[in-house]
Amino acid sequence: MHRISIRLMAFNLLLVFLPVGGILYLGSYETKLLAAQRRALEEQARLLSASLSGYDEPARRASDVLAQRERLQASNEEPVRLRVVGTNGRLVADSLTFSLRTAPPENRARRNILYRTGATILRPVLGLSRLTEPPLAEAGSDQLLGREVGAALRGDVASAERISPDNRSVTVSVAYPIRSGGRIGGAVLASQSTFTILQDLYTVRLGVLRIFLISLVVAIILSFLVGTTIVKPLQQLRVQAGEILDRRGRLRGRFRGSDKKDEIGDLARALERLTGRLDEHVRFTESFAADVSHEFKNPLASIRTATEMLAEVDEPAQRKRFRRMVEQEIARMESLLSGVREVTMIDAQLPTEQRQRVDVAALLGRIVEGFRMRERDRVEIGLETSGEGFDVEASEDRLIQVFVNVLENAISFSPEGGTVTVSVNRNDRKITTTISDQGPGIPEGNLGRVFDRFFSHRPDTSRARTSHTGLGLAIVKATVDGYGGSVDAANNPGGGARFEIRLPAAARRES
Amino acid sequence: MCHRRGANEEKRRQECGWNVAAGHGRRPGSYNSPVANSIAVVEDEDNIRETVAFALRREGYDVRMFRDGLEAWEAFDGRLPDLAILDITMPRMDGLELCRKLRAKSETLPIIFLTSRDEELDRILGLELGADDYLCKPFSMRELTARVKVLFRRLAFLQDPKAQREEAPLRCGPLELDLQRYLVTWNGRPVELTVTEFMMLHSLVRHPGHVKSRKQLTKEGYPNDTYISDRTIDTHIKRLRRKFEEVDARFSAIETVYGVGYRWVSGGPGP
Repeated sequence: MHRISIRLMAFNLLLVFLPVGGILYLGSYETKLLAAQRRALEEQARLLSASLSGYDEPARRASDVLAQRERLQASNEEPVRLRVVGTNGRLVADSLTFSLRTAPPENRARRNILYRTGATILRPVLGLSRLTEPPLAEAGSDQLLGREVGAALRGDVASAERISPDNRSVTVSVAYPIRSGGRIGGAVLASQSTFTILQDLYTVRLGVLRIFLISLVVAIILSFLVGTTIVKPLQQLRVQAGEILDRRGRLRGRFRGSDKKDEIGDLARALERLTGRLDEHVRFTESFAADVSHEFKNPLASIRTATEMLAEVDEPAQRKRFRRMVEQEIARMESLLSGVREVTMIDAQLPTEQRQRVDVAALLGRIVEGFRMRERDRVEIGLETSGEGFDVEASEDRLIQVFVNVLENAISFSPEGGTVTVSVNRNDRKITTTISDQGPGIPEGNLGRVFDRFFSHRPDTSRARTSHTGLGLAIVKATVDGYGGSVDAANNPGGGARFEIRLPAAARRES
Repeated sequence: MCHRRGANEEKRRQECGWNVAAGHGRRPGSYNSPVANSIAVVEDEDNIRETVAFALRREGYDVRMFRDGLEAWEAFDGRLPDLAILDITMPRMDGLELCRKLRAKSETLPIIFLTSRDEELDRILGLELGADDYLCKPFSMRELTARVKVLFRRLAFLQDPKAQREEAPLRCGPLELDLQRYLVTWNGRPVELTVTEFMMLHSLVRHPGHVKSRKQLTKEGYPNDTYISDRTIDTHIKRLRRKFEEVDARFSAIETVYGVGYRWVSGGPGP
């Protein structure tokens, strides 16, 4: 069992135990009833005692009174038995001998197996110990030895409770002294079974016990159900959390999320996002180090072999060739280094940089002008703008770098005499810049990788390598992402690659 | 690389007199009569390709250069070079695929891989490509030419089993090292090792019982190269053990001495 399950179970059971409080209350109710009964008996005993006092021979008189009284007694009540004893404790008269009634039928409640089991369990708990009062008289003897009779003969009023001879109920008896003159001439013993009262009480108790037992079962089932719906998903999350970290404490996976619509489902989804993001970051740092070292090994290999050759050859032309190789590769490493630095710094620097309103269309106009001058007739560059309001909030230098990198890429893939088309559109809240070329396009399988750092796919290697670090588009993506925009690569239906850069538009100026 | 060379060759090797008394071998490069001498250098880095080709031509080899696997494969057109040096990451067709294609045509063509990642080395070793050696970038040109020589020498002996041996093999229990041909047998069964693996094994076996640190193994496995990581040495030792275990499941002669290095436990389980 889990702690949450146990807590739920405890709360449910606590509710169920309320009926037990009811049973306890019934116990005190019973005590009150008994006290009332005792008072009534005492009253009867006192009346009889009063009517007998002053007679020298109470015995005969007693029999007359008892017989008369028996005839008058209401038949719907539990009969009160009145007995008169002499000073020696011997029975003188007994109302039972005049009784005309039979005992009422027994209520079945107390015989019920459920009741008996409950009573066995609850009696010690509730302190309802069996009465241990010794019997009133020994079997077959008319000498009444009860404690209360003795007390009455000494002049006191006393009462006692005993288990009835039929074992079904409790009999309450009250003894009252008969005074005649200054001495005690005997005692009146009034006794009555609690049978009728108890019958009702038993029925109520059994009912409460039944309700209690049913609620108990229901509470256990409910606790289990609630426990499984809450604890199970939590447990799964815990297991997943355990699996995610390997023995050395490294992140090795992610939360799998959940379809559940409840709070635990929300928690699972939040954890999934959290670990997903963390995982991405860890992967980024791990693979970045590997990528960088890998990228540096090629120029290093070139430099190492070229310097070895420099030491071995004497021919000036060859020496010059290897020296140029070394210089080239060193330059390549430098540009790699600055590219790497740029990529890693974009995330850290973008948020703190001063941003200003930059008109993308105007900026592109200036950039395209510069490229036209450089390319002259080799590649034609067209610029189309439609609509107005091309302002974005950004650093102008960063934007220049983004557009220059994408344009450089497009021009480098363009065939001689090809056209690169740049177009700017504003739709809704985004400013979209599209840059299309007429080059070979991007192989289908590489579409998702062109923005990966160090990714470079240039079949024409003569123009590549030393001048292309494979970081240009990675810088574009990092920057555009940093500004809350997006960048996509696709192929034009008619051939050539198309890059779409979407940047969030600045709010329109109020003027 | 038992899977690569047929049983025929195994038989040929058995014929050429193995049971000569123990002795020490010569350094690679001391044997100088390349039977075959055409080499294909397939590498997409212009400067590396040109330098390698230049250096090998100076050694007297006939070198052809290719910028990627596909270009090389199309140029071979059925006529394979005598030795191939392949870069791994190349556009269009990478070195691994080219190696597979070459192996399908020839089981004996010596192939040297140039790799630029330690992780890459692990991966390609796991691929069981049947390459004869691997060099990590940045490699030394001296190292590469030494390997080329060794592989040509091994090839010459394999192609001419009748050739007389000048020196006796080094024997150590069930192990026999042929220091001229860079061939190894365990209980008379050949174990196919790359040149690097052979050199490391030789370094261990030369002093049985003595612990060799990873630095020493680097020095002897790559005599001209100093930029080898300890991890690379571990990878080679792991491979060595596996190759011996393929021949003898109870092989345990290479012992790891934690924190120090490795040692050869002389003898090992007999036949």
